Amino acid sequence: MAKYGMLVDVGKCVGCHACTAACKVKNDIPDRVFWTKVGAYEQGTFPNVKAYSAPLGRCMHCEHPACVSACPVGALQKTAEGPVVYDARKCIGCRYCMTACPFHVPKLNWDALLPSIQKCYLCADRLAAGLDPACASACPTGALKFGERDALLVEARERIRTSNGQYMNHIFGEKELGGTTLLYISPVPFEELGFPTVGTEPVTKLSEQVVSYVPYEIGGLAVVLSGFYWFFQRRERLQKESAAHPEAKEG
Amino acid sequence: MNGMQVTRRQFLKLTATATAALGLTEIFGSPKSLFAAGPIPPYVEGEVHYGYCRGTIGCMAYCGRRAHVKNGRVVDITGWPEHLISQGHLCAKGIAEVATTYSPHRILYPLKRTGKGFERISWDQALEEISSILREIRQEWYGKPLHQTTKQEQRRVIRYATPRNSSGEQEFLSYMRFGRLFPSAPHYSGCVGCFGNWWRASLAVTGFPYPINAMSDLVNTKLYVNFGYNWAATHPALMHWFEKAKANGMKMIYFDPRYSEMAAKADEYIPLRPGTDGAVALAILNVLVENNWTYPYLEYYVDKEEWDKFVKEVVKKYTPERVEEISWVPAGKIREIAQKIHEAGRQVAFAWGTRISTSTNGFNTCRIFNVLCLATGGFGASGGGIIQPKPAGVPSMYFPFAAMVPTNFPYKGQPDDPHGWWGWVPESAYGEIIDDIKAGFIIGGNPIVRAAGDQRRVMEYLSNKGTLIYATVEWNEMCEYANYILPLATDLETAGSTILCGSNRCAQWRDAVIPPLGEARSDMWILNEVMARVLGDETFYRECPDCEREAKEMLARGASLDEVYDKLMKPWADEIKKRWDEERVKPWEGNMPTGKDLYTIINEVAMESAQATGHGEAHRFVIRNLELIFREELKAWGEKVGFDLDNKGLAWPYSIFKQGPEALYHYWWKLHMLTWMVMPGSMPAMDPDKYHPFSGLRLDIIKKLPGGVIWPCPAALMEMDPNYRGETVFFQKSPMNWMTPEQMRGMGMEMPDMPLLWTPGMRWSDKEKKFLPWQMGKAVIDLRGETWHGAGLPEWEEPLYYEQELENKGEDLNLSEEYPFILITGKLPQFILSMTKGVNEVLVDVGDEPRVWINARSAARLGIADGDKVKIETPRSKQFGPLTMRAKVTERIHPRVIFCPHHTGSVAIRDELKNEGGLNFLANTSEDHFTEMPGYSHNLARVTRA
Repeated sequence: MAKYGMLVDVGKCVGCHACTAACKVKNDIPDRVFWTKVGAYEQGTFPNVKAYSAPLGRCMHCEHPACVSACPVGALQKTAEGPVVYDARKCIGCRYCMTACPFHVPKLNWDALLPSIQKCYLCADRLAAGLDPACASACPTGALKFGERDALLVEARERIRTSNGQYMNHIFGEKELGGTTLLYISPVPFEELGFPTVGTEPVTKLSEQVVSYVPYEIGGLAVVLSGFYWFFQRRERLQKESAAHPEAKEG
Repeated sequence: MNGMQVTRRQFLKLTATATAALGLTEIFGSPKSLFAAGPIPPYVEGEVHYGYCRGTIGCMAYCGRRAHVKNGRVVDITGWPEHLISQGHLCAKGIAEVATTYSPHRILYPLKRTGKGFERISWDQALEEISSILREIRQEWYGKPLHQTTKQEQRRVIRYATPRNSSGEQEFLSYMRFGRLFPSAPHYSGCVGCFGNWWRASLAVTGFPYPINAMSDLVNTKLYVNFGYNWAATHPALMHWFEKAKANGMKMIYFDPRYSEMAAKADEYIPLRPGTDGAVALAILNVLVENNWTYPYLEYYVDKEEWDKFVKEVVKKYTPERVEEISWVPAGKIREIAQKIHEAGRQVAFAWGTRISTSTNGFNTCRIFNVLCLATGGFGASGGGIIQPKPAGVPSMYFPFAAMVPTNFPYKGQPDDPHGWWGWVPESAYGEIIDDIKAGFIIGGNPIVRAAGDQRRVMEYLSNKGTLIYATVEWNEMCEYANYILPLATDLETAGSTILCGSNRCAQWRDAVIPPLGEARSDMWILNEVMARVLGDETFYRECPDCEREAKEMLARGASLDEVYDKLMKPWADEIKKRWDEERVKPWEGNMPTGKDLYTIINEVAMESAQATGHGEAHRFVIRNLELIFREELKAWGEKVGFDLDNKGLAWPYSIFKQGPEALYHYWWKLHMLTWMVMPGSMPAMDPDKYHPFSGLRLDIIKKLPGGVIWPCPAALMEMDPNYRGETVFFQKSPMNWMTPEQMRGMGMEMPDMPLLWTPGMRWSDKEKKFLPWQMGKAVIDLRGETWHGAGLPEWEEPLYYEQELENKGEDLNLSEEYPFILITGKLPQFILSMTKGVNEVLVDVGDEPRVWINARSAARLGIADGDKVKIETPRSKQFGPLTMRAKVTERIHPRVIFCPHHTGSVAIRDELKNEGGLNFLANTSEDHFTEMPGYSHNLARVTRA
């Protein structure tokens, strides 16, 4: 499992947009494109109301990323630290990753002549310099907390335990899809936050199994077809030889 | 057959080649790799500039920030982890400063209005023309001593607003020197717009305008009773203190008609009728008094007779049952809260927000809160008292503005001082002055969106009949009326300190990160250049016509300014200093003071001087000029720190200001140090030579510390028995004293071992028309509002929602009424104050869409669905039309109340942000009858689908 995680605590978010702004400015993200965005939720009837904000629409940096698997040119890559990074130079704009991602995260810059996808790369550059991602660094309430995944899981369980039943008794991302770097805890059910209902098997499990047979299939096909080729070539050659030297056959 | 014939072989070759090429692409990537960005490059911090965020937006939390510069361009803003206040955190507004600075909507060159639009002009031309206009206007009143100009006259001459994009030094120039020397009443003064009543009330009750603790003290609070201060949205970067406090066991009770972002963090949320917070506070006090739960040493701070009268005539009337009817808060709940307050002991902290101040009953409501705070014993206890991000704690409020403006002593005893920082020209005054307004000189603020009342009328008049001079960062509504638009530098482009307006009582310094773009200039530069041209060589002596005549005669004969000073001022300055040495107050030895304070000495010498010289009564205003009295000391200090700080007796010592914010800071700091004792009603409990609250605010010290200094700045803390009444009331130990005296000495900073600050020990006598010593060294809680003539005991009053009380005060929405809703205003998390609202590209992109909040059940009755466009109309809409906005249908607001964010007007970079002109032009202009503060946060409204 990747080393680091990011704990997202929906109960702590106040909806200040510092994370979104920090991400936007650092990465010079175009207008109306977001690598993280704050959503708002409410429950109940006034005055017995509860309201929450949450940074959503984020790349989960899956342990078994579907986008990495789907990318035909290997532009996306999962790192040992956790972030799923990408090389925009390699991207051919095919959008397979957009289709593959169960969280609908990668975004294409449609207006470019040679478009490529963009998404959160968990500030892998900052991590390499020993800094937290820009969003977690700015967050004033600790709603975003970056650290070692195992330690964050322990902390997440503790926060749930001490929440007096306020929080869902679940850490989204602990096991989903084989685990993700981003871990969410929340007083709001995860479906209401827009998370898809997914199992614990990686998305890529079946597809990669099938695709892993492809070299063998192609190899096998190549051998069989080569066999056929050799066979028919040989037959044709023999036929030609036979037509060219009919006396040889009689003799 | 001829021409383009392709054989099958050619075709096969072609497709095979194409396939091979595609295969290569698979391996090596897109051909655009030659042009596209590389893989994620290594993180390069760039050149990092540490400083505090002022955010051209104008929030006053002053979080630490690091600005990253690459190739001369600021590319990122990140937090500063070691910073005292913000500890590495930021909010969207501070981060978006990059977008403000490089905004395509910035004004970068001086512009002058012509028949067809605007033409670009040079700074020289702009300054000359503007100064010439102002000089001409000044001729009209010239000759009349400043202190004799009436309120009406000051409102006629010129108007100005306060700069937001500035440092403390620049605010000093704008608020004080410019306004007074000109003179003019502030048209609207930034902070007064929100906190005018808040300050005045605290001043009236406690003798001190900012009796608040640093935010860091919240970690010591057991119970936080918060009346509507939604700082989870307005100052989210400070919420880490809240989280720490919660982790320490703090509980919060939060009152608000709307379930705001802060409500979501509360342990208990209590809705109430807008404007009734004061009644609730009185009911809580009623329960505390009834159960004998008030602070046992209360009578130490307040006259017993006065207190008993207050309890009998006011508090007893506000039973929880009566207040339940007034406020919608159940009586049982009020009793519960009072019990919880009692259980928290002295560690109960209060907060009350701007919407309580900006009400027609704001002055009295805020006075009531101060009294409630006192009654719990919170003042003087760590974790108790008032803890909130704003209003800012301002050192300069501790000493008279007379130091900066040699004309009259400020607010103490002059509640209607039009010069004061508290200024606001209410709409009710427009009628009598509109035809006489000559010019408007407005820096940074945007009164059209921010201030209440028909601002467009004023600006339009100025534009057509007078001259409107407007310095701004970006194009906004004001530009549509301006005759001259001057390009203002942003936060990242200016240096300076927070000393004038430091929140958290924190004095910090920042350097400019980049030079100003285009021809933008700081407000300090602009003011200095204009005023130097307007005033020329005018001297301080002009306050006295006889002195001025003598000075002019001497100068005409070839005398130097030094010789004029030696003749007119020096003997009296020397006499003042001599008497201060001989007669000043001795260290506190008991209940009554011995000796005189500097205020008294200066006044005595001034009177004697007037008699001795035979000059008129106005002569004392020359002698009372602190810059003149301490001219030599300032000069000596300047020599020590490498600046020319000699004012030479000039009314506008251009050469000092020209040397930049550092020089000004030194001038100002030294003046504070010298004149601290002058504050009327102030008497230091300790030897002022040994103990000085400003000594640690020295520039070299604040430059070294991340987050500067929280002042008063004791390096060592005076340990006090927390249960003892103590000599100090308002200024807490600073738990943020993160450096020990040893550590400070290790850094080469010697700071005196000071006790905590004393408290005002004088009180005004209406009968004797002077300050009398009273309970030396102890706080004086004035319930009678004597410093605010005739205020009387603080009593809650029904707020005026629009020139009248509500007829229907109940909770039920009656749609048959013309204006069935109570409309309250407030902020969105990504915006603050009035600039860069609709034009900051990052904030517009990341933030919440401005929508009017309507309760879901109320909306259903009106056939309004979430996202529908609606028209909001207040009684002013008959004249000004509606405000159109999308609706947010929600359960987060009382069914009778609607919430409309202000900030955005008719100028914005996205259509969905634009409206007819901002909420405030429709807002309530009824005034608080004590202070003329418009009660624009409480309105009547109706809503219909657009």
